[in-house]
Amino acid sequence: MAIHNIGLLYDTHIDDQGRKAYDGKATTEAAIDKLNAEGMDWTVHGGDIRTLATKTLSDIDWGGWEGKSDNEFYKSDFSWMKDCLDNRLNGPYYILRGNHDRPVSVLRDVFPSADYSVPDDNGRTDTYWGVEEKDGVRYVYLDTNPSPGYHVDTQTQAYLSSPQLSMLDRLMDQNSSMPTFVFIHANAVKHTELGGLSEGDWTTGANGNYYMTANHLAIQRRLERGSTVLVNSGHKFEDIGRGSRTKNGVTYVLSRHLVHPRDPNYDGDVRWLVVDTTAGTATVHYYDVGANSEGTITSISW
Amino acid sequence: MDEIERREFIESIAISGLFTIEKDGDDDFSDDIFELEDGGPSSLVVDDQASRSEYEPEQNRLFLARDSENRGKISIGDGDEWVAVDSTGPDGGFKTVEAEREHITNESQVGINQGEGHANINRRDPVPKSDKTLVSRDYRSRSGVELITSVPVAPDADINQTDTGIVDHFAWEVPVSAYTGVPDYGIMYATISGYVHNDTDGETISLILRGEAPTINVTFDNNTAQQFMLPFAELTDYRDGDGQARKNITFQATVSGGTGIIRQGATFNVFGER
Repeated sequence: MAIHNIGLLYDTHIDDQGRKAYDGKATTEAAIDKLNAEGMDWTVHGGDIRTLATKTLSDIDWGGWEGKSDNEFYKSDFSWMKDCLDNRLNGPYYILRGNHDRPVSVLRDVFPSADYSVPDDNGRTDTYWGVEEKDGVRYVYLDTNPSPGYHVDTQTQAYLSSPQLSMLDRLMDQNSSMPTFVFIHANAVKHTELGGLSEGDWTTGANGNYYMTANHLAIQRRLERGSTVLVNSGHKFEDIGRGSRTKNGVTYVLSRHLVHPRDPNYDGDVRWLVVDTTAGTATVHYYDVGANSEGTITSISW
Repeated sequence: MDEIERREFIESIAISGLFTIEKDGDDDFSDDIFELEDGGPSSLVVDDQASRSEYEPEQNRLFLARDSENRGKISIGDGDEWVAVDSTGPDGGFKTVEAEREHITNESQVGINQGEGHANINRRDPVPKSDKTLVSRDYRSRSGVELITSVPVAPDADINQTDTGIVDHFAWEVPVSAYTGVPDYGIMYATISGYVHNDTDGETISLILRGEAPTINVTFDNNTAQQFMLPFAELTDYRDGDGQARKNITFQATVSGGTGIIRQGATFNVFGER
């Protein structure tokens, strides 16, 4: 048995070409420095490595920015992040895919899934989702933007594919008592269900489902079949505070978005998860980059 | 080589059928995408013509034959019996109007061939294929999630609260069985989308999707029409490994006061993967 220190670096939104009023770089570097200072065994980049913005600040471009066909700009963002992770971050890291991490072909060029993702339960390495077990604890990595074709009502709609849900079912069939931790980009729970948050119901807007995984109830049902301890997500970009909510035995964690797409002066949270497999405890810590302050979001035991 | 036919039924039943067509004679209609227009059928059944009598001919219910002999023939329920509907198309079916290339949701996953006067889409078989009605839970889909069908919910339905404070509610039984018998789909979901609002300040309208799946309840407090799409409710259950279709999902709407309005064009949608 052991203690696992896991860095949770979500939503860096790197812009290496000056398209936005923020580029995410200094915030990301400060977040990585904090993870190094705390000492991580491994780090999860939880998605939205880059920003899908054009030079027209309000627009999102799905390809061919300014007519470039060689993916120059996309490569630049991903490559900056890879250089930072390789040379600044201590320890290994895995990549989850966020809705901004497109084109996926370029993501694969820079971060091949075979090298930067764990295999699924059948040993496949061609996806950015999978599972690994360490010291009696299970870590599940899910991809809410799994591939072209998995988009429901908008190009950015988060959705968990059937093969991933089937993997969750199989894992719970095989061992429903193993403590399980989940990393996922888009939320697997409505944030109004997190409690204590002032924001209204996210499902009520035209893009309400954008803020969560469209089939999040299907995810929850499967997580509830086993001993799922914590689910850590990112994605929601307004500052809606920190918190957690336990729903049917599964605790979902909310933190402040690390790099804010709308406010260039905003620096949010980097998190890290400490799992003590002997004591059966887990704690999610945060470091607020902008405020230079830190604390605990939630602690849980099993 | 890259056309999909758009085939229209006669206007009197107020629908258009947008087909992605299998090989001629194929009895598999699982690629069909129907756009049912306002005032059109309330639900759709796809089965062999010989099985038509097994379904209740509910008012405005649509029956689409899938066997090779009767493929594409339409009947509509009048409450007592199925009434065959004539069409301006060939063989009493439908006619070709125009190509709708953009309705291929994931063109990298399909091959397109031109048949005898028809546009054909041949999908690769999903693997592994199940001998059950639904594919196995461990099925690995080839393409992404796609819209299987969409039917109107309640054009201009008003939901009022009475003076006595009792909330009237609108409820619509979703004909789940009409959709979940489609083979070769993985997990299927239902959702409602459209525009909704309450006409009174401070009052709300709640939309509820209730059934065997977890209840979804979303409340809206806006006074002008707002677009929405409810979270997905599973129409299939794979907890025991093999797929089982859920049934008896009901869509309800209630108001805290005033009048809630589900705008014309709200639809019940079924999504699935294969």
